[in-house]
Amino acid sequence: MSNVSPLDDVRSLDSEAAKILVLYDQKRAAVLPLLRLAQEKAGFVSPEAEAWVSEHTGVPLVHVHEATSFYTMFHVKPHPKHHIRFCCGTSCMLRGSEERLAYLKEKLGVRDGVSSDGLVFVEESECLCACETAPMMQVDDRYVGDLDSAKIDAELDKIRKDAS
Amino acid sequence: MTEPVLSRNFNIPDACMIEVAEKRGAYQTARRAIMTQTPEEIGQAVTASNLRGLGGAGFPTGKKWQFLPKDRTRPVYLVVNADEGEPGTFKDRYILERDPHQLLEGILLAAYAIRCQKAYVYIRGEYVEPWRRLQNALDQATAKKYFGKNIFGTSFSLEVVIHRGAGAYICGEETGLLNSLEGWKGFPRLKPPFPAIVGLFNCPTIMNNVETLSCIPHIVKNGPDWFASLGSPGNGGTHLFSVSGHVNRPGVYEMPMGTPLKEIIEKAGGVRQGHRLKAVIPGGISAKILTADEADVRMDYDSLRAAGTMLGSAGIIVMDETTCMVKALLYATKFFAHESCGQCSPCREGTGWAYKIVKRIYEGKGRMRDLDVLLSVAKGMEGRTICAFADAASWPVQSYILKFRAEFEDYIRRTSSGRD
Amino acid sequence: MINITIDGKQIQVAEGTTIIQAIDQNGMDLPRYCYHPGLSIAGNCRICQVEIEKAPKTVIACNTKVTEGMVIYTRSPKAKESQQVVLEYLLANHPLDCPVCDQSGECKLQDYYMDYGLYSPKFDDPKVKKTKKAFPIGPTIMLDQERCILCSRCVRFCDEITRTHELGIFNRGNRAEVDLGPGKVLDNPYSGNLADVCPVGALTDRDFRFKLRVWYLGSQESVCPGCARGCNTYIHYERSRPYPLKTQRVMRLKPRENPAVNQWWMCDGGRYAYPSIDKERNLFVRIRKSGVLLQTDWQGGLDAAAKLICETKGSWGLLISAQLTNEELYLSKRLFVDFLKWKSVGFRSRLDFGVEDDFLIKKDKNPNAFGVKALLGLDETSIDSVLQDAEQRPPEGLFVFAHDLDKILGTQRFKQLRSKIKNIIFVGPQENATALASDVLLPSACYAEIDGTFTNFEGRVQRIRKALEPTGSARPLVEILQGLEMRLGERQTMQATEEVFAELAKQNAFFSGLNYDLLGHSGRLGNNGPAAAKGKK
Repeated sequence: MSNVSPLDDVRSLDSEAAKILVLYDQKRAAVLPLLRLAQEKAGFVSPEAEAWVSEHTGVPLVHVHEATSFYTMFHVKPHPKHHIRFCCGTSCMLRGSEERLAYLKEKLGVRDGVSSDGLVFVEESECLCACETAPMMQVDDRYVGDLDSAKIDAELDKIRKDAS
Repeated sequence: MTEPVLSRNFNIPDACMIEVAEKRGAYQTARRAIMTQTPEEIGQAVTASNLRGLGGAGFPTGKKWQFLPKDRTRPVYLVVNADEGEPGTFKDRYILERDPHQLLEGILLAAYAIRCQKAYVYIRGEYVEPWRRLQNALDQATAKKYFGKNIFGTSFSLEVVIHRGAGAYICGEETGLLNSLEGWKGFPRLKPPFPAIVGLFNCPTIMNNVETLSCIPHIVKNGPDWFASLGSPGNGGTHLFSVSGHVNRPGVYEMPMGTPLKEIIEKAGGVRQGHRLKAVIPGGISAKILTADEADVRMDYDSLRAAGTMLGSAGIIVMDETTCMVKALLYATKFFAHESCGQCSPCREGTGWAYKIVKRIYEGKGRMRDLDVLLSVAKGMEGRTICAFADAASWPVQSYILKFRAEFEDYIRRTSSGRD
Repeated sequence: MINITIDGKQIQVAEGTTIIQAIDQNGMDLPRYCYHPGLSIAGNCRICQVEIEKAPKTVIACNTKVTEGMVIYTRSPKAKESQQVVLEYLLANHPLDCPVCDQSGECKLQDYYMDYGLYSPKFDDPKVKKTKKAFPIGPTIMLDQERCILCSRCVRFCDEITRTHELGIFNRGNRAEVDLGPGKVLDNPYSGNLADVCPVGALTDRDFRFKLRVWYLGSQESVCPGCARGCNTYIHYERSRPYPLKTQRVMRLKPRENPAVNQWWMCDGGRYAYPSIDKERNLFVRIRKSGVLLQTDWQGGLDAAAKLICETKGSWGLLISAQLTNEELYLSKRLFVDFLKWKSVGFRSRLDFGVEDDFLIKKDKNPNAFGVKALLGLDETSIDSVLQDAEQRPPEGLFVFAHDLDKILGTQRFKQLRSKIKNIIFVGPQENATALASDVLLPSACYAEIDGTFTNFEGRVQRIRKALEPTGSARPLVEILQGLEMRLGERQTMQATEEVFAELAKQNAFFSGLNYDLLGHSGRLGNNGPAAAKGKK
């Protein structure tokens, strides 16, 4: 997390935003990529980021915020550094996802989705379409499948190592 | 089936690198076709091949392309639907990760056939590694001038932009995707007008699924008759079937259209050791479930429709006797309640209502009359909404209760003392 | 033209008409929430379901265009089932707020349930809770997210009509909520229309909140006198409450549809100006005796006014007002200009003007400047010039309609003027400093208490209709003026307002050919006015 103000944070992305805007035949199509760009910088979509997206795309602020609230991948508050999407689809359920999820949540001491050390957010996600490796989860960008306790432990170790 | 078609490169290491892909023939068909054939010839081949949309709707692809207006006052867009989200389906992910150049070549041919110069690929937000590989593959192909201006030295130009979604199943719906691509919430649009007339940015638009487009190089290379003959009457080609659940080897299996379901399950190693088949969903979570007794069906669009269900996304979910159907329905209704976009009232309220009732039943507070209420809540949504999401949401409710009613009633009796 | 059949009735409609438009054009019914003729089509409520012969499913009428020979059923079993089923979904999570909801009595959920519902409800799980209940989103509107059926009319209004983009629908599925955009307040000049546009009690008028149950309201058609646009309105007044409120009669104003003037809308300035109908009114006839204004009766007041005018042989300064109706203006001309031959006449003051926008609000804050110009031949003659003359060469008297000279001149100047002028007669509905400084004060009825006509900026002549009896001792100005005429001239009998209009239409080219029947409910353009010149009707 930077000590820079949220406004300066997004302003520093202006040139990257320009590169994205030229890809689209209409500016407003850049709403999602710009929101993502802002979120990747600051860890979440701040009100300043939304205003910045509105300015660049010409989309009224209220409709930018509608998009932020609609899509599950955008967070409107400061977010833990790591995000685990634990697949709660039918195929994963059939192969024991509930027990694995319970194990993961216990290991992390999850309350309201956040681990006790504040580093990890655990989202009970809809099907991630990796049913061939069920039960599975997505740790940040990576799909991790064929989960058992050992594999879950290994992933949590990676996260802890990354933190220190 | 002798030779794999769509999956031939799936187990070739580094097939997503252009050098490897080209050694195995990538872009040769496109080069020859764009340099020597007319767009109409490509379109005719696709029509004759009986290729049907492999995203779920099964609409004949060639026919869809013909809906474009003949006189072009506005540019035409090609949009690739890579927003795979149907639970139980992962075949498009395989193509994106393991053979992206096959898709890119299909995009080239399709864009050429419909005379379009700009294509967008809308890829599901959670698909990070697939996106990286596709973007990388596109960059490599662009560097070799297979995309951009004057492709293969002809007047045909094509720019492809890969656009990432942000976590919403409804963006896999054709017009929901268009609205999402345009920067709005993924609300499906009222139809008519259809996207071929008014689509992306108000322009005529063709949207095709990843797998559908991946078939096109093969059709053009080997001819439509060959492709049609691989499948069953009216359902051309092979298909990538995603098999998951209580099987020994979950995975993607390429089989001819019309292959018996049981054969595909066997290919995936059959039901888990020591268990027997109880039920199977043939086409992703939206498809009406089949009992073990009903599983002797052929897997193509027409046969499954005749059997009272659908091929859909061909996501085969196998359930053995350990499966509690109440729990299975809980998961299905929870999915639809979470993913409903909320735009129109029957779906917004109906999906939430159905989930509430099933949850209450599952948690032991069900009543016998809940089952008929549930059926009527589901049936009420059908045919009355802006898009087919509500129909899809109603089918698991209707089919699980219809076909496993005794189990539901027994569950209620056991867990809530048979209250009425 | 296209031939279709709806519920057995054969009708002809233009190509491109939707089924719901065809239904509305032919006086038939169909339930609808998200459809509004002034807004884009959303098609999300799904209740306007109709059955079309040979079609497998019912379709929504708002987005289906008619085709030649189409046969439509709005009340067939299939159509009714669809309508009923959708209604049940909408009511499933709807809070049972009717006893405390202002919308009760004019609520489309209630109305459609009685007309198209009457089913046995199946929902008995806990209803979905939303974040904001009874939450003010601006100075005029209260939001209740739980009552909201997410028809998106309010969002579309703020996007398409005012283009101020205050509202949006956030989240997904049955967690969706209408709310203000980040950092926004609903304070555009047309915010009051949202309470009209919302078909249920999700957006309600704060000014009207908990004031009166709507079934106690009477309604009368009128025109807003707030500016030269002349938005068509309904005056809603208390009529049948068993225990009358007595503090005010008019409870609210609502816009009345007129495609040529204000479509379906009115501005907040006009909408919330109704208190002046009941507040700070001149209630009594008063005459100044020994420096004090004393109450008297109409006989006494009119006699005193006539006497003052008679005794002074010279002409007075006449400060007429663009607040007057055409009939009142015509009678003023007949009496003061034609008969008494007064020369110094003015009507404009700088207080007449305010802000204008590119939508409904006109900068002239009077309803009938056009009438003044057409009937008295005055262009923009200001009362400032009349008053300046009066300051230099004080006339015998000033006859003032409605204006507050204290505000126009400033208290100092007004005091000086007052001391120079022997006689001031004031006629008007509102009490002000000039009224209280006058020698004869004649209380006139306000626009809600009379029949008459205004002419808007475009030259459209529109009727106002009497909703209430004049308050206190006030009388319609047409009666007051004729009362003076009878004392000063040869007039023997009172003409009714409609007769006055008939006479002025004979005399004045602009109004020629018009009469009350022709003006009807939407008004008519006068002859060779600015809009008529553009070819409008």
